[in-house]
Amino acid sequence: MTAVPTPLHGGDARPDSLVLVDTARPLMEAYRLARDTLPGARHPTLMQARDRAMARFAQAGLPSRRDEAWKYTDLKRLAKLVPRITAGDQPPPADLDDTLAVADESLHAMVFVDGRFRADLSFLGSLPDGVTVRPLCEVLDEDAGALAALLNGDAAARDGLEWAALALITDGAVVDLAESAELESPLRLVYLFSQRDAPVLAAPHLAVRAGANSTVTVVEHWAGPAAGDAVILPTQSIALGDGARVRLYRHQEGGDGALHVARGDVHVARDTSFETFALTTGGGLVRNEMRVAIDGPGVDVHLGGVYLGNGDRHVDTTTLVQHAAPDGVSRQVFRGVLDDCAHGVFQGRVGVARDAQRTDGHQLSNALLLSPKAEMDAKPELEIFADDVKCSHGATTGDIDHNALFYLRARGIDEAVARGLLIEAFIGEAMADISDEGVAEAFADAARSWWHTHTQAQTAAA
Amino acid sequence: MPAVEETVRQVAETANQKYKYGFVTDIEQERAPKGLSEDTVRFISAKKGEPEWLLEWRLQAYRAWLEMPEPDWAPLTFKPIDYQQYHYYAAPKSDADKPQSLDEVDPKLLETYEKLGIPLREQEMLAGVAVDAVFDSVSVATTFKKTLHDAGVIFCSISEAVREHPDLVRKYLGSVVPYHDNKHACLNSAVFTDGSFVYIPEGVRCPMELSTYFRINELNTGQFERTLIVADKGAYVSYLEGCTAPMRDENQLHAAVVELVAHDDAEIKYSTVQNWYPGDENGKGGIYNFVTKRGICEGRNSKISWTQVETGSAITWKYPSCILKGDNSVGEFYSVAITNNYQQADTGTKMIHIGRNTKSRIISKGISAGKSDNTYRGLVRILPGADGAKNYTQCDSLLIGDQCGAHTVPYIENRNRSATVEHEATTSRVSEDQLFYCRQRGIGEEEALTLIVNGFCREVLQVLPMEFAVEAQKLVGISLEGSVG
Repeated sequence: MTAVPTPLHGGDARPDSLVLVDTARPLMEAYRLARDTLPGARHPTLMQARDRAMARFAQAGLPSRRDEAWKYTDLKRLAKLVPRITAGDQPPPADLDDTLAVADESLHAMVFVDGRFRADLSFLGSLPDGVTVRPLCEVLDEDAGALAALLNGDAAARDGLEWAALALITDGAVVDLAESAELESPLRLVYLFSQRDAPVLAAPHLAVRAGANSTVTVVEHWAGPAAGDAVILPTQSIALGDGARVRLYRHQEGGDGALHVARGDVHVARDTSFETFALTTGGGLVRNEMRVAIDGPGVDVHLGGVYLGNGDRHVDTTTLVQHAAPDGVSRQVFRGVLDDCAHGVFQGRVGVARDAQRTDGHQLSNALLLSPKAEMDAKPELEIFADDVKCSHGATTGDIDHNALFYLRARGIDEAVARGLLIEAFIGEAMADISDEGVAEAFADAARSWWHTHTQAQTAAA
Repeated sequence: MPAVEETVRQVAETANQKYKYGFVTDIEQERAPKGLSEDTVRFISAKKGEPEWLLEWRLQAYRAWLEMPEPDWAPLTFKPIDYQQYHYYAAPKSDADKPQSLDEVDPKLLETYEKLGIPLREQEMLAGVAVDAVFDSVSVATTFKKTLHDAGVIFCSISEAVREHPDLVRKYLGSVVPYHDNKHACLNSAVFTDGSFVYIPEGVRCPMELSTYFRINELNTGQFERTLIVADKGAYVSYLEGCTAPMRDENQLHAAVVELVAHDDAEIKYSTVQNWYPGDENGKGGIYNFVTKRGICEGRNSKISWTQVETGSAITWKYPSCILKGDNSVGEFYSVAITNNYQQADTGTKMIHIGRNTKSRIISKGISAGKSDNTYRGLVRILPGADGAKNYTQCDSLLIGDQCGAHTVPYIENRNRSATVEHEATTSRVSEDQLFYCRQRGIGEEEALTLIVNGFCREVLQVLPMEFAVEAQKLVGISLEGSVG
């Protein structure tokens, strides 16, 4: 199979399969046009694996709200876009310096434009022994096998869109840590987008292979296009060896045109510590899906996030933490502030297998609805097959506490400031879980600035 | 602590977990032929002497049933149901000349009730409970007619209501659970044979708790009760439903529908103790219980409260729900679900907030033992108009043994910022410390477990009416037998 897979059920297709093919068509077309420019294009086996993944997508189509995992997130917008993969050679937006200001203290930053690695903009200083950080395109030039395992997985394990995201991988970062290696300052991954008339399609991949007792912190900064549409389909595969410590932070911003569906697969072994936090302050439709498989005993997993919604932003947080080994601790805290017509979704599942005795799993989702049209859907699930466990979840939604607001106003603080303070406090509780101080500070600033910009725009509109 | 002594005694009595109510009464039955077709529906309707509109409604439901897929959201494992192997109608033979008083009732029937522990005769004096006992599919006797009649309350079998109060039945039947609601509700609408009808007129507080004991008796007779309770403005009623069934090896199908309508300022309290045959310790036999229960708080300040203790059935599939339409209306759901051996329960509630200042409260306690699976599945939906709505949900699961599963699947949808929605869930096991404490004081392991589990369920058991509270505590003990040691 060398060409793009043709739609299944050609001429005599039943009506419903026609629908499937239709929802798959734009991404398939984007793949067809860019196929030979994708990393590793000169390895036939790799390209065959990409074709196979695309064929799976063609067969499954885009997930619809009839699929339980997509009950609250509608991908109709994606089906309407006709995105294109670019060569990523456009000049970056003029405000690049501002974007990279975050990375000032760091010598390790990889910059991607439209999902393609840009060596000219990146600066990877001298890395400690045992740490290698390379762009995926470079790795694939040498070894096409790096993506094979990912692309040859079980068809039923992923939905159609995820198969498309894997088939389309435009580039990425590969981080390898040898045993006991340590990267002290965070590795920054900056994703920029060029301004174009047609929507851009980017599907970067992040692979982290952390050897035993190694330590690394990765900070992703997604500066989605300020104007214009983009389809962003990042994928991650992260594996932690015994005793490894990995922290992974993500900040998503940008205009309403960005449709951002990120999937992360994390495998953690014995006595590991894995922490992730996602701050969403931009984008039109955002879904952060993180699946953590706890394969070894004694692990400590923290998943967290704050999503801030204005306009008609849709932010979906989907997590799956599967405890397969005993004595694991997993904690999830997600908080959202939803104004205007924003829509928040939290779907979290904690699974505890029969052998995962003494698991301690907690999950918390809190959302503030600030406008009559804002909306929040939560589905926190527990699926427990072991008896000696402590598992819980909590979910709340509601408005700002009027008593707290009154308390502040009674002390002469005007309403706008008081609301700002209360929201900062609300967000702050979730951010307190970020163990990297620099990131915690930067994220708190970003959240404050979102609130500031948002309220100013509201005042101006009024 | 008499309740505990009672439980202890009960546990001892049922040492080998023999199903207490497992006996068969041998009474000749008049049956519809096996299988389901339009003819079956027409047969049932004709037997009941129903008006044309009801037959039409049944047929519509039957046709919808043919088209509709089985609901598949619950992760239940069981063999596909062969709907053609059931009888859909069975009536005691003496249907033509129905008994006019208890004295005329077939003594064998009365004997059955005595075994069941329903003191039909004594109840008039002792319990203050009117019983509309359903023996298989036809109501046999309804007591306390006079007191209720004096109060203006209508409490009769649904067949009688169709004859005597056709306007009321026509107005409300299917108004909360439409015939096409789900496959099991379709089936019920097509072939329901009996059930209860309650109408409490405006301003009346029902003078006693109403109670119906259902009992599946004849081999292979699926039961399809239809219960309709309407509380008019300012009315109040408390309704008890208790179920026992004889021991059987074949799976018996049960698809009931319960509809509640509460008008302005009315309150309906609906309590259930469900103790149908759960199958043996190898998962053989047991009742398939697919129930659609829903109430609508139609009027302002109305209230509907569901309380259930689910200990029986091989499969429980049931989500008693409240549609909170009237402003300031209140919905409550209190549930204890106990599964043991190979039982599977998928139960929970839906609270749909439509009116302003509507409130709902969900307390669910799931206990899994043996190789069973117990799922709480619930939905809280706040619609944009539900200003000031409040929901509080608490789902606790208790695991006994390492071969069972406890799952929590809540859906929480909020479309109104002035609404407050809170959800909490925990899963844990019986604490060793608590068990040790009890054992140290000379309480046997099983008794200790029963004591602890009763404590765990306290919040729900205490809202049950008195008669049920005692029975429910006994049931907790019986259901968990064999799960420790």
